[in-house]
Amino acid sequence: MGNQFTAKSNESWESGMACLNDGRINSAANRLYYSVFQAIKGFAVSKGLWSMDDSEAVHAKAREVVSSNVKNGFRRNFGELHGLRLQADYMPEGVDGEDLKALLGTADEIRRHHIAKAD
Amino acid sequence: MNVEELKQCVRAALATAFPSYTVQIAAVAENPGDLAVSVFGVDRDAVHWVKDKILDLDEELCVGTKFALTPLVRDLTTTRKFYPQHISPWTVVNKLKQTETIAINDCEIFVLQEDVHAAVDWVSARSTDECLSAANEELALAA
Repeated sequence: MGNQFTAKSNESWESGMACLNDGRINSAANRLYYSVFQAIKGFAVSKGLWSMDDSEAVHAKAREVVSSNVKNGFRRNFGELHGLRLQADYMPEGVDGEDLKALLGTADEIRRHHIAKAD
Repeated sequence: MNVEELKQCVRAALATAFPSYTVQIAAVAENPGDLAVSVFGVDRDAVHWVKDKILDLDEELCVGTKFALTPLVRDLTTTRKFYPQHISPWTVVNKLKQTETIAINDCEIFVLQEDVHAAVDWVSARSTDECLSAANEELALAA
């Protein structure tokens, strides 16, 4: 079956990178976070950890999936990316582009890992 | 550990790590298991250090649970612009002190009066004992 969210995750990543390159940093933070989140959801569903309709506390659960399946330190980066996404979506201040760029490498690694390792 | 216990634990740890910053801990509305840890008025150079402390706590307290801590750290410039009410915890204390001055003064006077009464009682009791003791000694000598 593989990761059913691969296409969506890739699309979100491309949108996020385009926003980042255009200077739309808040939109970039939102899309890049969700790109990683979608890859994690597809992985968790493929492993039977989540149902497709699971919607309760999914962001905390996604953090748990990351800490169980990827190397140490990735939980931290994903948590930090989540903070930037909350800032982008809910807070009056904007996201600092440099903060977002610093997380790109790890974010893409987490995303690719969960796409590749889905059953 | 339930969410309230987790909040208390985080609050205590952060109050020890950086007592001069205002800290707020609140569940993210869309996701109750996720606690947003907001810290305000942080020196620009210390923002990453404060974020790291919160993520350390996330790893120590939340791995293997349904909870997660998400750092939302604001530097001084951002705090002044968007959250002036949180520029420093001392601002809140000063504001409270100004509005509650009369009540605080009343409490102080009340406590002082109690202390004075207690002190007078203690001295009186002591004096009486000392007088009795001296009288007994005199009686013993007279005998």
